[in-house]
Amino acid sequence: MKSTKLDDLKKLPGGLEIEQDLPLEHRVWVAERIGWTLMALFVVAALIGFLGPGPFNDAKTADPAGRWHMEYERRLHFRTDQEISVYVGPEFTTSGKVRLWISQSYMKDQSVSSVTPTPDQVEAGSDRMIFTFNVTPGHEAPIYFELQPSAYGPTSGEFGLEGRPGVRIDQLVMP
Amino acid sequence: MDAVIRALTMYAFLWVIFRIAGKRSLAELTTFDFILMLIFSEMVQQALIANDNSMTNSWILITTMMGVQILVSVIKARWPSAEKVFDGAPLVLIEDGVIHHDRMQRSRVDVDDILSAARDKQGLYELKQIRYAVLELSGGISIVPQPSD
Repeated sequence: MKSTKLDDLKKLPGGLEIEQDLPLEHRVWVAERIGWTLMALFVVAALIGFLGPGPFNDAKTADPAGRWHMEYERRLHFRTDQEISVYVGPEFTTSGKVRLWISQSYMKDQSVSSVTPTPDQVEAGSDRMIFTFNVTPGHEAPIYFELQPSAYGPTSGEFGLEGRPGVRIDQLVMP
Repeated sequence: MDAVIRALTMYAFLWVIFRIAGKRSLAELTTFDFILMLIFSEMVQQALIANDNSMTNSWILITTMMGVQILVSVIKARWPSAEKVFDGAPLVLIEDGVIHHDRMQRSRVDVDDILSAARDKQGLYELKQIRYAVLELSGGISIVPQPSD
């Protein structure tokens, strides 16, 4: 860098040497206000559940016949437990056993924190994982999964009862 | 790779959030500001580590963040305009005895803040004794007194 004469440095009319940049300062003020607005929107989005737990985050789905249904969260946080509740109608509990399957592609990116009730048996198939539960015959059986996603981004899975078509859920795992 | 991305993302996020907050946000750390800082550091730490408590992970995180810090300092040294973008520029609030109320309002500085800095740093007790008041990059206010007759 070439040398600079001391007299060449920027000075205000009164003599103060300072690298003031008013046009930049004005742009920064505008950016700050936009930033504050975005921060406020971010907090509101978090409050209403667009960024995780909250009223708009809860979803329900059911098999076409409405004989069993499940509740899940649309947006998840990376490595944070999510709860999936499956309610199996009395028609499917008469034998005292419920065999619920979940697609293997979904389970691949989930670690199981807990399953309530504890499954009697878990079988790994080529494209699905089958959980067998002991249930009270003739009564609705609630089954709760606590799963922890281990990969970012959109994910989808299928849940179903053995011998019946599955129900698809779509979720977004946020970092 | 995941740790590097986490470190880069967190660095960028913290830079943006503190730039948005403005120069005055943490100019003088009150007790509550200090507590907030501790809470922030705890939250950032958890997100950065993400269940990986190994030393290797901490080395990756520290090296990445320090690397970005060095890179930013090199960029700022080479391109002075980049320095202004990264850090901002000082802003003259009182210029040769003239008070710039619009700049003060936008920077969230009031006359009391200037008088407080004048008392604290120069032992001045009224505005007319101040020739220049400058909002520095640190968020602090520096005072140049009027020349004594």
